[in-house]
Amino acid sequence: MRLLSIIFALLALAACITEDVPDNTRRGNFDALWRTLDEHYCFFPLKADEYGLDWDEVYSRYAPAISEGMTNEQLFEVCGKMLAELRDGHVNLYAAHNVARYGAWFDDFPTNFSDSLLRIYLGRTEDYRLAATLRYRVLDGNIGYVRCPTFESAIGSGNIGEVMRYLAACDGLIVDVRSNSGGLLTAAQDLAGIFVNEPTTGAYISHKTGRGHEALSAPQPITIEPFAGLRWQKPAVILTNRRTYSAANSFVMFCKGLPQVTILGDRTGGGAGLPFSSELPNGWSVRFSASPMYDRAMHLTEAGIDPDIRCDITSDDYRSGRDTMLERARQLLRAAASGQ
Amino acid sequence: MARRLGICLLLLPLLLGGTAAMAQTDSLRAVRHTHLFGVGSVNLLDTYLSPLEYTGWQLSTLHTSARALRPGSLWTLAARYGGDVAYAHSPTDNGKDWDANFAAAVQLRRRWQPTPALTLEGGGAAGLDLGGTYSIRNGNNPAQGRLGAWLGLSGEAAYRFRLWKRTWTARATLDVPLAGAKFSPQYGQSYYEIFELGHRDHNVCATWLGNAPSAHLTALLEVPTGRTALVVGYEADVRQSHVNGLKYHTWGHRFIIGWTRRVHILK
Repeated sequence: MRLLSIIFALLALAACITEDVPDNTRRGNFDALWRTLDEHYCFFPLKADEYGLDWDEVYSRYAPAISEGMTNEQLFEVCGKMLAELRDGHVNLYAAHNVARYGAWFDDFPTNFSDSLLRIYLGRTEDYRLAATLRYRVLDGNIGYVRCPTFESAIGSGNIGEVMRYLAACDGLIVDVRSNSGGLLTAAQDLAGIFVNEPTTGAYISHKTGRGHEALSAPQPITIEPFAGLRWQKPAVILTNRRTYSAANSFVMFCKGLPQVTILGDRTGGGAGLPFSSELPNGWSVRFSASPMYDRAMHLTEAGIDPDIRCDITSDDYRSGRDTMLERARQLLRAAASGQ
Repeated sequence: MARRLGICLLLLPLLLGGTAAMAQTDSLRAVRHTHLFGVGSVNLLDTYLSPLEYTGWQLSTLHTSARALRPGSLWTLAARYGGDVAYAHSPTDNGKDWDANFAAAVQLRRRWQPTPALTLEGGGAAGLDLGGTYSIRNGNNPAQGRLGAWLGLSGEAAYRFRLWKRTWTARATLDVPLAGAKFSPQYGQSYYEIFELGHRDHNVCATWLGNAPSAHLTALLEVPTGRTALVVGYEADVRQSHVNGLKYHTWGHRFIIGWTRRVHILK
């Protein structure tokens, strides 16, 4: 009987496991948003070092703007501005009428990509091939060109194999991930697999282990497995711009430093935190960086990755229908092929 | 008492393994099989997916069986297994969750008969829980998987009474896990890290009454209808845990209906 008494006493003590959530009021939703980020966002230490972000101070600055008399849109505006303090493209607030997002990581820089220019190089629909999301063809000078606009869906090994076989005879390869805003990390890993001949550490990843800002696990490697079919052994250039983001940023991170790969273009947009989702009492969704990724040298790439060769599309080239970056890549690959 | 209970729990697998061998010497043994189907409400919380409690409806099935360990024995060997599927929504109805679980348990209980009408049983139980929740609104944390095993206490009270010239039975059964282990991602760990990259970080967590207070209760009325009995009743399925900083609960309350019959095994 004594054992039973102890057990039921413990049961009563433990009781129900619940989560305290603020009420569905203006103040409650604001507090819930601030707290979600406070407990789950992974880049507080980085942002504190970079520009002195103090999340408590942010709360004290924005909280006075909240009142129960404000409209939904006014609440959304204040919340969006508070989130923008994180300067993170992976932090969003989704409401029915709008999505709060931070875009200075690309808005403040040249686009360095144009659909019109892309059409000149890829040609009409029947001029290029399409395997999953990859558009590809052989450019003048026997240079293979692969346009990878997104990693939103998986690229099958059959697709990659066919692309590699078609371009196998080319002297060089251009992989264009400009304005690729990411998607599946696994798709980025699969594509990077064409450039490695053995399992290679492409990056490191960690995750939050608790609510504290510094509560992060020890980084563990992200291994790039070699593609099972053909692998690219000849020179390759990856084209980047400021909108190369998230999983595309990771693709660049995986490939940078590989012997045959050159990164050319503008700095990538970053987005090196695997985002998680949550929600507020009023039903708005919130997305935030949850798991930081580091390059091989254990540097966070949240602020982007510098190219090996810096290059912008010039205004003159825009006007004359010439992609400066792509031409520069082609020139590099031709030079490498001819042994210069 | 505690030592005897511990010994019972430790011996449970041996006893279960030995059941088949002992059955060869049995001549006649009654086994009670009960099949139940349930419908009810569910309250779901998994802070890996959302801090909000989701509520909705649940369908379930439950099968139980019980037999004397051997003819004339004071020990009952019982088992239950079942599954449930739930569809739940967030307070504002913006988010939807699909939730499914499978649970199985075996119980070994000592029987007491304080009065001819009342039977009380108490003993140990071992169980396995498997399940998962899928949220339609999340990106890289869209789902949560659950796998756990536990050892605990089991009790049953059965009261037989006469009504309209037939014997009715009211039966309540309770399982309470005391200790075990369960799978859980770390606080902010993605399934991409666990399964795609093979990274481990405290993904097998010890559970006990303090961090995983859970219980499974059925309260049944067996209505005699001939060779079988109609069974109606209530099932409470309370599963909770607080491991790796992640809180989880499923509170299921279900109306259940089914039938029970006794099978006499002749060997």
